Amino acid sequence: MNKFFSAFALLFLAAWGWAEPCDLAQQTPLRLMEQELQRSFKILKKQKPPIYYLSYTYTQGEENVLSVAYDGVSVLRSAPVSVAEVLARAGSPALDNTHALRGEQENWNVSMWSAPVADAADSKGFLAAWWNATQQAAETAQRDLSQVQSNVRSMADTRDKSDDFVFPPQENYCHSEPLQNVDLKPFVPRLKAASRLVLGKEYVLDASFAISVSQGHRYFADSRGTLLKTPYSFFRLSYQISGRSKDGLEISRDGIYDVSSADEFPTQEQLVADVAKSLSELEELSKAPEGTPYNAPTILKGRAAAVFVHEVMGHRLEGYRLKNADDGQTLSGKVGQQVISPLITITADPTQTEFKGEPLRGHYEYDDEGVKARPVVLIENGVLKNFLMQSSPIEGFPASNGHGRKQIGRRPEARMSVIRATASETVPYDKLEDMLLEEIKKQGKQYGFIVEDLGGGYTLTGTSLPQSFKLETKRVFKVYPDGRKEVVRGLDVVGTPLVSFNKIIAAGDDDTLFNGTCGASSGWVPQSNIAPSLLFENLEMEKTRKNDFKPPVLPAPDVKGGKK
Amino acid sequence: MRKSLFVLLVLLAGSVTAAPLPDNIFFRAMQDEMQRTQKELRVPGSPKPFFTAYKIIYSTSQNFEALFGVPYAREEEPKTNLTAMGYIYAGTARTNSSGFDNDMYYYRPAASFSGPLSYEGLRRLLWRLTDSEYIFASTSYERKEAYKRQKNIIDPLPDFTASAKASYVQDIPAFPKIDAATSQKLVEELSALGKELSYLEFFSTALQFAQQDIYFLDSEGDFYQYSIPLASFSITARLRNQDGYKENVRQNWSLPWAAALNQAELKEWTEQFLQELQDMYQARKAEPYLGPVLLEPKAAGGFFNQLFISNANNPKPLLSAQRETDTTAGQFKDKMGLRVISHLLDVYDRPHVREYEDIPLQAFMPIDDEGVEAKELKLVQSGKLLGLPGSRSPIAGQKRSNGHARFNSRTYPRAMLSNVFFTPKNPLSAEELEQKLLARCQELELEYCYIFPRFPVITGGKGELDFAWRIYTNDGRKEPVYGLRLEGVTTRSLRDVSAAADDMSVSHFVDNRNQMPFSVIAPSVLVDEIEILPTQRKPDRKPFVPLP
Repeated sequence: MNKFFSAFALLFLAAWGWAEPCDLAQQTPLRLMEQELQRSFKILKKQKPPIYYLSYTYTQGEENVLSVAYDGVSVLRSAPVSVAEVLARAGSPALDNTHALRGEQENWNVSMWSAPVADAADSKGFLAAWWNATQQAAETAQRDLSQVQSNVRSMADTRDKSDDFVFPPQENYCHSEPLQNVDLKPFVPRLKAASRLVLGKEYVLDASFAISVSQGHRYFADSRGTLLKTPYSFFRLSYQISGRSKDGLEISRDGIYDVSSADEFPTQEQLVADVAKSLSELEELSKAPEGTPYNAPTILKGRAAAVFVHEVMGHRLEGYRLKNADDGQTLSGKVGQQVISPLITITADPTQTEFKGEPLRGHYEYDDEGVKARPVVLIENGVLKNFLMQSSPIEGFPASNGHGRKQIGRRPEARMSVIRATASETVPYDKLEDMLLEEIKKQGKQYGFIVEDLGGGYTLTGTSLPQSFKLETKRVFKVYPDGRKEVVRGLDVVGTPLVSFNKIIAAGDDDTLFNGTCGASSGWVPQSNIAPSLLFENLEMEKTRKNDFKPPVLPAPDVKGGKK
Repeated sequence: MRKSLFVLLVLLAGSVTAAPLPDNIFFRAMQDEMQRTQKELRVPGSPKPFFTAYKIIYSTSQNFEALFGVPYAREEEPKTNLTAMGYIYAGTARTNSSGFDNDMYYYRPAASFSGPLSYEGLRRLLWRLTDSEYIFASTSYERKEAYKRQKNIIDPLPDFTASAKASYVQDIPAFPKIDAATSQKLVEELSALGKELSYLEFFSTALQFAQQDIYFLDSEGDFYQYSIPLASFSITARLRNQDGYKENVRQNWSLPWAAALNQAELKEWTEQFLQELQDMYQARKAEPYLGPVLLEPKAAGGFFNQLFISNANNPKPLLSAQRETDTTAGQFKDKMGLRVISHLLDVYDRPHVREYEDIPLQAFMPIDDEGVEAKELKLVQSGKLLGLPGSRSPIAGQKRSNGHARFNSRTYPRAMLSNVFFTPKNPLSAEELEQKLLARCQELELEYCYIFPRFPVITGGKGELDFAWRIYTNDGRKEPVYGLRLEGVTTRSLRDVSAAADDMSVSHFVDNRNQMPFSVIAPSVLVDEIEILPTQRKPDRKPFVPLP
């Protein structure tokens, strides 16, 4: 066990490189935030109703964006980020303004202000931003609490009577990283070269090639005395190429490269080769026959399996959903029970920094409530063990496990970090395909499916709709009993979570990472999903929604016959 | 003298003559895609495109801002953005898809695309744009014809008239290198002045520089190329007055381009504004009032923009299968020859004028968006309506376009005003106008009258104004007032203008519905009767925590 932690510590240092010396007492923004927070809290806690908890988050950094298409630059921009956010809790931990409101009302936002530079010698501007944000946050919290109190009095009782908040432990931590000097101009020729490949391709309707870099520090202070400074850094090169078939079906291929620094972006040769491969796959898709709805043995290959785990099970493991009466609460009351195939274990580990050399977007040191990140076993060999927790307890889970997350402007909620599905037994991928063929024959099916890529999708967790999911396939093969494969288009994977996850009968040894950004009630948060290829006894495919419009009447101008 | 100045400015800026099409990627891409569109774009069974227009806008901007003397981190380089927009009329000149909006939503389904700065990229943008516009135009044509048949509409006028070929080319200047350090230092110094008022909750100053390079080409070969530079200084402030009312105030000053850093002038404006904030803090609440009001130039600009310009715009109502009434069509369409405004004012629209007293006018257009030379239009003489903006879609009594068709990503071309001059006859000095106000107050036996520095947004004849001055009849003393609710402000009020000053000043506005920019050049005016009631807004409690 100790060995594990030493190895982890080494990995951690290697991932961040040489950290800057960091002394909390020397952090001007944090000192000013603390000063204003304490001054305000002294008064706010005496109000009626009291503001019993206050936290300040300051995000300071920069964003660089380069976007290229068709041999031209669309966007080349470097913008500073300097945002002050204040979260005020009014009432008491038992019942406060963040309590889930039944019906249509929302109380998800925090008070957010642009902040000027934090200057110790002339602090009026910086403090004014915090004062305004605090005033607004306190007023909103008191107003929301009245709504909550009225809501609780008039609406039906909820099953889970847990408190709305548990005070997070006090933490003091300082980790500073020098911001990398990012100049995206030198990457223009690289992206332009890739963008030129789509010219002349009649099956391409649109294409974009982009680099986005977001780096900086997050400062956190709260009324319990927590003071944190942690770095964040995301470097991504991505492209998307899309087309539309004559019957209105949208098809696309994409590429994503998450790296730790600009010099790790793919070389021009690698990028051009990958784009060429994507174009060839898109062309193949454009000519592929349309699939028909069918229920059959299916392999979800690594990246598709990772998306599947995220969408179908991951969201249902977010603890706060069990307190929300409007939520389906698929896993409510099932702790200690087998909920999915015993083959599968699912963990969340935001402390993990990289996977096979690729940085994990879901990594962080402290969550957005100032709680230290830690690994959590959620499902072990199919048995439900734990939930992703923020500082809002649920029955049987009284404290946060460091998964309170949010986008700027939203209130934290329990969200995924680095989600990993592992299997107790694995086989080489080729063997998994052999098992698929055996299963197809065993069930007497005409064919099965291999889903190579999922483009995303959604899972319904509210009680007003079925507890189902729908995942858009981006590249799917029909596999015949004789091993023949045929690309088809226009199919989505559909099903319900408990049934689908219990249909997993084997897993590959090819764990694959999908870095993404997930949108839910606390906004868009970066996160990572890792899973091996999974063989399902069967999965159901249904038709994809089509666009109402045909492809353009004339071919693209750069296509043969398209020029004037 | 003023007239000769306008002529000079037009000559300096460029001229509407048969210039050759500029050789740049914008025109090459527009011309090549347009030729293909006109020649080949067809859906069997649908009407063909007979008129196509493209506009490409390349915008550059750079901003500097500070709060209470502390800078916001700034973008080191100017921001740029390229947007392509266009429209197609399908059918024939006699009857086509124009002037019909099926559901009257007043937005366009796929009117603009942002994209890359390259020939191939522009071609792709224009290709996608053209396709969606053509599909929309074909559908509109069919629906319009069906509607006309259903309503038995037989219009003797064609849907689109001919016009002479027009072109205008101004060499596009590079976006100037802004002295970032000086600009930043200046906003810091000016915003630091806000520290003097301890009750200000927020006080930020900003300098904004922007340039829009605009390229237009239509399928009849009309084209234009020019740039519009805009610079401004703005202050945003927030306070709670003594009675606990929250006041959010923003003031904007247009600046001469590339000479934005007249530091003494900016400091003077900031100090004046701080004085106004001080007055606002001490102001007393309005009480019911019915009587004359003096509108200072910015207030007059707002008054004329809302009551005159919006009613002179869009004289030809759209047809719609869903609604019988086009609420965007101005009321003046039925008032030709009638008195619509005080006899003391003449009103002109001068789209071809680039600037007024060194201030760039944001609606400058030498050629309109249907390829017609944009000429001066005399709208009102001695209060009587003589003309209305016209497009190539004629109306009874105005069969030819006068070059006022304007479009953007939110609206198809409609006949609209641009730079509107409200020129007073026998103007008084600003001091004489104030004296005239006092004399009128005395005549009406009022204890006090009002001076408005700004004019509120009017909806259904009502509007809320945060600040004004009471001026007392007996001694001319001025007293700040807050919380004014204006009632019954309609086009009738335009005829109540009883005097005007000689302090013509520029105000910029953007139409809320479709984001179309206008400039108003107007003097202070005296409006003989405006009804004021106290606001129904409730005061807020004192802040929980004192200001830092």
